Amino acid sequence: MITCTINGKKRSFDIDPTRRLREMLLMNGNFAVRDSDDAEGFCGSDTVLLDGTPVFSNLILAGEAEGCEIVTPDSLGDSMHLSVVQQALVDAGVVQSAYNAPAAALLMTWLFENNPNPTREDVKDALSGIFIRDAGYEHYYIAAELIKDKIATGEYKTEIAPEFRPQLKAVGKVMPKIDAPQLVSGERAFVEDYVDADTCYMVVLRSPYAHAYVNKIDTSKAEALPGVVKVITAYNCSDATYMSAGQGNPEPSPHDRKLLNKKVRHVGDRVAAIVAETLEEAIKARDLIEVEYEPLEAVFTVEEAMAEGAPLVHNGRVQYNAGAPDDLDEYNAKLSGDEREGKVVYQFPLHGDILHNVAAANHGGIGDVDKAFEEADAVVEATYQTSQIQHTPLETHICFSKLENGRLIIYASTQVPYHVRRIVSWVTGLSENKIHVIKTRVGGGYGSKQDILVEDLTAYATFVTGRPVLYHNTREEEFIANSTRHPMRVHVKMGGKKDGSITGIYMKVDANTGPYGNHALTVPMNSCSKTLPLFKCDNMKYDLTIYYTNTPPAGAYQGYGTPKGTYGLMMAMCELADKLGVDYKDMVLKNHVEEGYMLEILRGLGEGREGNVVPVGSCGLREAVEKGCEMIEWGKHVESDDPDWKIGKGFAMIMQGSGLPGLDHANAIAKLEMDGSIIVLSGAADIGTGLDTIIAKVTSDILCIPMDKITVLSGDTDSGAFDTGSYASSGTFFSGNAAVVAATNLKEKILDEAAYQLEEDAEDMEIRWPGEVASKKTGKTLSFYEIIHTATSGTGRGHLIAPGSFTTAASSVPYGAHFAQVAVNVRTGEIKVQKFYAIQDAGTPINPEAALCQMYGASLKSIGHTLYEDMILDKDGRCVNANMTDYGVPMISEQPDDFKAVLIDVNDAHGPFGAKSISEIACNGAAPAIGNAIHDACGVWIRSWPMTPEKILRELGRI
Amino acid sequence: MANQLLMAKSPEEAVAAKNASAVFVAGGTEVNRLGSDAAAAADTLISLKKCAGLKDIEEDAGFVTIGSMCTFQQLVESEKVPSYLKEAALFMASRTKRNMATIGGNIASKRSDSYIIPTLMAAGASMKLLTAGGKEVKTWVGEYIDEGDSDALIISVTVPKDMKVISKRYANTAQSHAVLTMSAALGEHGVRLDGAVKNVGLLHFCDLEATFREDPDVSEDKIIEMVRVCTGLHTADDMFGSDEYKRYLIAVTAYDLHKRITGKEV
Repeated sequence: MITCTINGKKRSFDIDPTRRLREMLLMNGNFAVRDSDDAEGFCGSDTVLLDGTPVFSNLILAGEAEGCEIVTPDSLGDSMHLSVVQQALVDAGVVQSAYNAPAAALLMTWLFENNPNPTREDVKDALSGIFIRDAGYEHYYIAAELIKDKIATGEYKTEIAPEFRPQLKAVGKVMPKIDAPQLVSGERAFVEDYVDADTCYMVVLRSPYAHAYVNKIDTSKAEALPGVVKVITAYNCSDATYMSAGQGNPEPSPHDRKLLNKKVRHVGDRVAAIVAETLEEAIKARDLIEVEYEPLEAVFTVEEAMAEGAPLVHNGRVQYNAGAPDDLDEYNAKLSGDEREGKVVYQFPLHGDILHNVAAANHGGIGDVDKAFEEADAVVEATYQTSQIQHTPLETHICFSKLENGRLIIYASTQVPYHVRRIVSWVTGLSENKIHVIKTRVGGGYGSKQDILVEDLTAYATFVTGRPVLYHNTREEEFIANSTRHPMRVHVKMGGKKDGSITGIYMKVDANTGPYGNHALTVPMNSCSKTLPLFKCDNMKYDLTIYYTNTPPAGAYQGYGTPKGTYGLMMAMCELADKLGVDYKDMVLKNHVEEGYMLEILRGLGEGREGNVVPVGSCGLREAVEKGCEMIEWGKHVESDDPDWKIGKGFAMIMQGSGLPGLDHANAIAKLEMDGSIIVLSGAADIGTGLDTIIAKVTSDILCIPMDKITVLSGDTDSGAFDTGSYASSGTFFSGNAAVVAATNLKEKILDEAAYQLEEDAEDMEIRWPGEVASKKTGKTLSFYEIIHTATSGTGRGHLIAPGSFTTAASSVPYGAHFAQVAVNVRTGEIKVQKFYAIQDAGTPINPEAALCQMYGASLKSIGHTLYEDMILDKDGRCVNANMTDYGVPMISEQPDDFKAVLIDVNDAHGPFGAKSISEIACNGAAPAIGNAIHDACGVWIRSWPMTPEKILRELGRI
Repeated sequence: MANQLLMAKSPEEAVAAKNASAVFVAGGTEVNRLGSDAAAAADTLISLKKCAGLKDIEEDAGFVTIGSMCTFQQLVESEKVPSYLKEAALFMASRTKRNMATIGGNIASKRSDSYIIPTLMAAGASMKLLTAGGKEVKTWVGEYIDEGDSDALIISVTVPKDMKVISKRYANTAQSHAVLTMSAALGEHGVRLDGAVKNVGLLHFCDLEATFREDPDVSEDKIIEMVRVCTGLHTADDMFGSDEYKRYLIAVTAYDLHKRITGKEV
């Protein structure tokens, strides 16, 4: 028996003393002490105070806590009674996906208890053991100032963020994200918090081979173990062929996998799923499964995949659901047709050619690039290689499913609840009304939760066993069995004239999708479709080919292919400017698009169909470039005191989209409740970015009702209406606009009902703060309560409910420019990012403080992608750095000393209250900005990620 | 997998319980990390957290003696601990981890990416051990690394207070494992150079020391070439960099540290 004090209360536990302290705390109900790293002592989600000192509870043995005083994050305050520190974190905007926000709050509380007036360095030190992927760390410094203000004067003095649109009360204002109190206080929020006591655990047996047939699986020993409920293999499971991408249906991705395949295509591929009463029993059973593999030769790079005679990753039958080529039978005859291969099903042609490992392709352009290069005064041509990168959300992929009254109930941490429902429907054969997906709070997505990576198998396990099942990825599985950023080879040829004008651009992009084709076309396509439209150039051409290989799978990642394309294009442009002797800034200003410029290049860049040719809409690009150049003192050389350190500056212009016009679709339903408050049922999937808050804010300003009278329920497939999900920067634009439509429709209904009740004309009614309708003619007023009370009295006209549906062909494109100042040590190759400025046009920033945090978070993340993040595979395709420490991610120590995010105020014609997307675009600038700055510093072009010291030294000729 | 935890109350109790299937647990940042091999192979975990007398820091006659269970954060905060050792302790960037990791645990783990061992070796740090037989023995950190008795318990580490020691660490991020940590100390017999080279080991660069002794103004190029062809250095290509890169880095760092510690800044 172990006795200790937890949050001031003496507790005793009958637990094996060699178990971890965190397990003991979970027994006590302290579930906000979370695990992000399988006890690595890295992410800090498991932080508690032990005898007054912050420690990782996963690295303390339960027995070592005997007699100790333990404080957990959930003790600080509940969502109705936040502590000063918790409130400051909420107000500063850092509580976003927030999986370890309670731990961060605990650390900040500990800091202030021990040092009431901490410096920036003290804050940095306190937070040095916690990994924040979403919001970066910059606003934690602001939170510290807010706490100081509050303690000293009882009110905030420090500015959190600029505000926008003074005529509005909610939109553009700094106010708490509506789910932040729940998240920061550590209340139930994530999938793991809703698991029933009688739940079974599932683990997955994964392939040790990069490429092999699974000829035989003997599960008898595993199944004989007590506690084992079911072992699912390719030989006893659903035969449905599908793919994991959560995209609009029909998807521009080949369907090329089953729940479990008879051929494994990467190290970590699924071989069997084991469901047991306990996790220990499931693991033990997994170890008893005997598999007979037939290893095959593998390919790991696009170069290997495209080689003549290369092993084929998919060698089964090809099928088209629409647009099959006339020679399909002839084509299929050339493939092995081995039953173990399965099949590849295209919903419509994507120019795939699996006989050459090509999953998809696209080719197109405008004008005549060959002629443009002939007319150029200089031409540059270079290849830029990007690496395979993991999203590393704090909350690893998880799913809990159970049966209720003949329906599958799925608790999912997902960006795409409706796509989860559809794909589970496919693999189980259940109709969608029999499946209920509940999106909980999401502890970090970044695109990885746009793929259905665990929900299919977990739900299927419940479907075949009838038991509640929990599946939770280990951190290693996040690396080897999830989606990752596609490695890409971006070849750019660019020609220009001495006056700085660009005559032609050619991009050849070869992308590595890994073993399956989820997002195979769309992600790489963004390397062209979200980069070439930056340029006012009449001659542009692209060739895009996506290859299957046997690496860990690729998929959606914040920015899609844009960071890679931007890296290639902006580096090439800088190289061209250098060759022409033109100032890079002048070249940028001479060639970037402006409002009204017709984007003909988009015609060929639809997602598997003809794209929308539209003119450039609202565009803050020029202002962003000029503002950033002013801030970083472009053109002014900085000399280091140390001759080994050379300093340089660089920048890149960037763009993204705001959802997919013509493809995306969002819905909301607004209801006036019986006391005059509002509930909005949204199909949206808030993944921590503040989308629910956006929906509440636009509703508040349209209906003139305070935020605390609005509740948003989202991401629940039973209560909401269809929404394509949170990806491609669609949330604010599509789901936000659906809420605008719903609220506007409800407003009309309220005005109409008020007019009816007052026996006046609706056109004489106006809606007024705080939730009432007034007659402009008679001056009479009715509160929302009075209106709905009468309407639902039994003699009235009934409940006021308004749906809102949003689709559009309009594009609202966010623009920006990111700037870096770096120092490079020319003797050791070390690189320091001294300054980083993210200047972005997000239209109207509806949540300005959250927007800034997302710019910091995405920028810091992409600094990591540029400089060190890289999944390294050995010769057999095994990832050798599949943990946080070996992989390496930017934390507070890696933040640039001078780090700024600035919002350019541009009002967009199509976005909700003029808003555009904000977060995804912020992943696009770091690589070219840093790459160009490195060249400015020491004269070398680093044409591959990560830009390591070793590469610097090689380019400098030191090694 | 361990099924027993002993909360040792004294060093004597700890060593008495130590056997081939038992493991000492100091701060826990290594033994409990990621299901380490050591913990997985052990039947018994011997926690040292409640061992008396292992957390003191004493200064005497120009030397500082640090109890093996002193955490990295205690090193950082103690006024008695020399600045060069504080600098090495701060190589562990995570404050939360520094609150847990101990100087004794870090030495005992003998990691090839150790935060502090190169500094301790360069400074000529000595250690007091308690052997399985209950005997106290003194050894040098360098000796312990080469041939230390892993069943013995580290009681304390003693370092010179005023010695000039400087260190340099290279890692992808502050929290990543270092590809190279190197330290230089200026003593009576000249400059001593020690390093932790990832996946190679903890090394005393005596050939480089000799070269610098023979020719204090030796050129950087000569040092680079010397390390490049050194057959006794078993670096290899791995995820931390190429063999060539590591050799270059060792050479340049040794050259820089030598210049800095002898007052000839590069």
